[in-house]
Amino acid sequence: MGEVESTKSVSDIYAPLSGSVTGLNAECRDNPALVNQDPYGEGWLVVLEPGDAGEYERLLTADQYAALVRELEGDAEGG
Amino acid sequence: VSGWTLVEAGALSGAGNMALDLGVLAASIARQRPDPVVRIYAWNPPALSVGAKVELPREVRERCAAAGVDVVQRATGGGCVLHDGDVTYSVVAPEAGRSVLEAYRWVAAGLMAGLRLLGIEAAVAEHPTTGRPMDCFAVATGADLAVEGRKICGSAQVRRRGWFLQHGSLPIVDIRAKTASLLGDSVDRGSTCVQRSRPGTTWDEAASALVGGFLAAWGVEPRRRRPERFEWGSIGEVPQYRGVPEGPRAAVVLQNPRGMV
Repeated sequence: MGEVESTKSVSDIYAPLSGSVTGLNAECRDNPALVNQDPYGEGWLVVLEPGDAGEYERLLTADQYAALVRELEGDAEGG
Repeated sequence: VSGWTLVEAGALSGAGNMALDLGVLAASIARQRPDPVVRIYAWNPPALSVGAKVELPREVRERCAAAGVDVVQRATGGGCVLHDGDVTYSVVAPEAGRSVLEAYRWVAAGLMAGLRLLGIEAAVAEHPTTGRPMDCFAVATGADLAVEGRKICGSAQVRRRGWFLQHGSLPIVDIRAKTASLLGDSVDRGSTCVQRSRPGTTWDEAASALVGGFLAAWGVEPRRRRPERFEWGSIGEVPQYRGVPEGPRAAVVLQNPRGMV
């Protein structure tokens, strides 16, 4: 749904849900460091209106996602 | 790596070089190619490549046109680079779990080995720095290489679907004054070029050294070939230069990379 640049590296931002973008955070556009400083608050990027409420139910919480990342990193280190 | 490919296409225009780099990336993603594909290339005519998120002032574009310098937008991040007699490299490879900085360091091993073949000891630059001038070479980050603290090679990446394209520029002669005159900036004093460390080095010597550097880092001879038809992509794939600010975009530029990968 967009791109993010850090250390001269441009990466895609994946939409977590199908739906419609109904709002953009202009402050983040002017001061993108907000994404790092307050990712769950002032660093929001877009307002997304879900097309399918069921998809929302299947999203991970931040804690669940952190656990998944740790698990994946463990797999990578293990070989 | 178990093998790597060196794609040889000769000197190309700005649009041609950027289309081919993106075409190689698209081909590697489509075919899930596990081995790195490298290009070592030149630009004809000289070109100013502009980072994906840089909005170039109109007067810079006009100065480039008057000087016979192509302007092309890169898909990769960073600032503006004048390609005029420099050796440019590109590497397309799977991310393979490498963070942005880890991928830069992985490629840097080959670049540093190549410079060592020329008798030049380079190191990954200090990271992070603050601020971001339009001239890429005016600031060094962990993406870049420096010789005695002076930036000698600037690099940038784009990541798509598990693969990355990284390209970078190694100036052979001192083009800082020309870069500054095109960008309308003061001349950058913090960067260097190959001939400053090793006078008389030619483009061919530096290009061969980079190939030798990747060979040394990866321990295997490259397979050399011309681009495949599919890799040429289409010129339409090159991001068009955006002379006029666009409407709302979800794209953002991060200046502080901490915590972002």
